[in-house]
Amino acid sequence: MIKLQNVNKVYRTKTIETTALSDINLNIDKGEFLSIMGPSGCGKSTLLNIIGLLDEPSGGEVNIGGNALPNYNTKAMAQFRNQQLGFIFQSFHLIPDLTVRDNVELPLLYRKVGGKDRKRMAEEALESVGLKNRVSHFPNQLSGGQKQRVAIARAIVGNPEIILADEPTGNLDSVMGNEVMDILLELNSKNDTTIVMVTHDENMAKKTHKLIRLYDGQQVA
Amino acid sequence: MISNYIKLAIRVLGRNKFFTAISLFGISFTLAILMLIVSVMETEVGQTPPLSEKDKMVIVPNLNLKRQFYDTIYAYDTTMYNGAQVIDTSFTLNESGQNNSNNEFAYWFLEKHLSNVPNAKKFTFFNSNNVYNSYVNNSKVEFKTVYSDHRFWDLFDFQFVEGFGFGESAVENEELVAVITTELADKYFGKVENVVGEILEMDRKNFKVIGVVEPAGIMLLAVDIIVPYTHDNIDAQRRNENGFGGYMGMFVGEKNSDVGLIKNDIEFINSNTEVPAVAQDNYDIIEFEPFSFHEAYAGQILDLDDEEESLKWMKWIMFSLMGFLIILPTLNLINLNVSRIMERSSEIGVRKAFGADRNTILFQFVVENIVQTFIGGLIGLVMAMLFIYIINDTKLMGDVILKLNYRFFFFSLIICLIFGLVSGLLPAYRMSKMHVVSALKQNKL
Ligand SMILES: Nc1ncnc2c1ncn2[C@@H]1O[C@H](COP(=O)(O)OP(=O)(O)OP(=O)(O)O)[C@@H](O)[C@H]1O
Ligand SMILES: [Mg+2]
Repeated sequence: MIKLQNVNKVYRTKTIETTALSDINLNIDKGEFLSIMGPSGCGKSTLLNIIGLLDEPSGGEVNIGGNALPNYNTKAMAQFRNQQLGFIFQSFHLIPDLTVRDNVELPLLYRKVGGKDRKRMAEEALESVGLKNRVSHFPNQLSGGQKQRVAIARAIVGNPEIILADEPTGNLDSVMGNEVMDILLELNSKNDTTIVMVTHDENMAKKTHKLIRLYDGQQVA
Repeated sequence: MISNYIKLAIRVLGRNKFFTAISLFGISFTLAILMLIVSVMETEVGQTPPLSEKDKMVIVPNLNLKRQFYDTIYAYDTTMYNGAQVIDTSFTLNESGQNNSNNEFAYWFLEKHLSNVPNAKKFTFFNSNNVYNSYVNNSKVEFKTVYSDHRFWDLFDFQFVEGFGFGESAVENEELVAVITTELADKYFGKVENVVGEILEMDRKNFKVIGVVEPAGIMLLAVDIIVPYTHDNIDAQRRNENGFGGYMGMFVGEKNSDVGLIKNDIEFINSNTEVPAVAQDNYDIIEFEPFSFHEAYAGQILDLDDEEESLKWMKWIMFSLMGFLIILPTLNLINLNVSRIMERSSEIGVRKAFGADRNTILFQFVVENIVQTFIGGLIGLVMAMLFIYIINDTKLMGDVILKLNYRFFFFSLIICLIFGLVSGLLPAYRMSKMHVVSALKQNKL
């Protein structure tokens, strides 16, 4: 499903050159739930962004679904992300001026789904994360756990093959974190959605199929 | 999609009320001023009654008699006629060695030389230099009087509230008939309806009102009452003089392009016209220059030597004024917009992650900005209408009555759109280029 070969990422500024990732090789199968761990600054987010096609590697090959990928920063790449990928972020990244429903509808909006269908699909997604009664709220009227569940609903509303989650429980207490984790696990087992998750929490990582560890941009386990 | 953006734009505006109030004030004030300028231009150079054929008009405002000479002669001559503001100057510029007299025409001169301009479909000769006073209930009423021929009513489409203009026989028979404006009717008779048939005294004559019209509301036709030129006693006395008087000629062609032809006709007539016999002792060159309406208008305002030059200058001045008025607030708005959009960079990151491409983001922010501008424009429109009402009500611009018509609204709409586009495009473009990952890192949501 997802294949990385000799992936490098180097950040260059005028004065310094930071190697965020070096020589990463990775194979993630369909339906797999993979977690990535490692100390802060080791390159976890960088790796996830590369898998999620948000960032371009400095070297190496990224392959998703076996097909050739469009160029970065093109409309085609934006469409590809829109169809195939869903993102969940540590700090939720909900749009504060939009209602819960409008936030969840976002991926569908860019897929040009009609208003009625958008509404129905968003409500279904919200129902699956247990937030059906919060559709007209604004993000600042929700708790952290609820926000992250909205973010999950947004990530799954378009039925993507792959979900990328960067520390989805990082800003939540353990109860809420477990709730969110349970939703992800269920999504993975029921819908066979491939999930790649960055986490700092060993307990969360234990629940996934596979764990890789990074250290200083290198894969150590 | 657009409706989503409009909804969002309104939410965003509501989020930071102080900020919104400031930027909206800037936008609406700027737009109000621009709309006001549009209204002034529309009133003064737009084609509205009684000057619906402005763009086809040619004006011959004055007669110029000259003599080249070699000795230095000082001469200064003014003539005052009873009650009438007739300015008749004759001056000598010894430096240039030229004796030069410049004034409007006597009626006979226009009738004799300019009543057969081949390409003119309509024409009229009239004198708008007269002011009379009258006392009604112990308060002074001032009349700006026009003496005209019957063709005046054909050329100017005054809006009649009641009655009609006078015809050829009324002029020839020196009938004591007058057309007055609603404004004068109100001042003189205290009413604007059923005024036809009333008698009005002016210049010690009793005129019968046969028509009531809406005021023209423009500088060139600042007039309260129009009567047949045959009542113009001063002009009558000038029949055998040098051609100077208080009249100008106005000509209208079939279409806009006839303006050039009419001007050529008149220039040709000029070249074949001799200095009137009685003036030949003093002058040997005769000139009467035709101008398009807009040239004459610019000449009146800027008073440069050359009317065509004046028109060029006036266009420049108007456009630079509008340019300035639009550039400074636009820069300001761009600045505000940049900081405002910056705050939303993680929103842009999220949108891009979920499938928005660059153009989609650009489009969203431009739409948002146009919505904002239109809200400002609506407030600006109300402000502009208020300004216009005050200006008209207090006669701040003299006899000019600023107009609000569909063209005014149309131009205002265009201005809003341009303003919205210009001020929104640059910030939106910058933001749309932002890299997803760095946009997301700005953790402000
Ligand atoms: N835009 C950038 N320019 C320069 N260096 C960068 C940039 N982004 C990340 N880095 C560097 O790349 C390395 C990896 O960063 P990354 O964000 O992937 O770490 P991380 O493992 O996600 O850390 P954390 O657990 O704190 O989120 C770090 O050393 C970081 O300083
Ligand atoms: Mg990270």
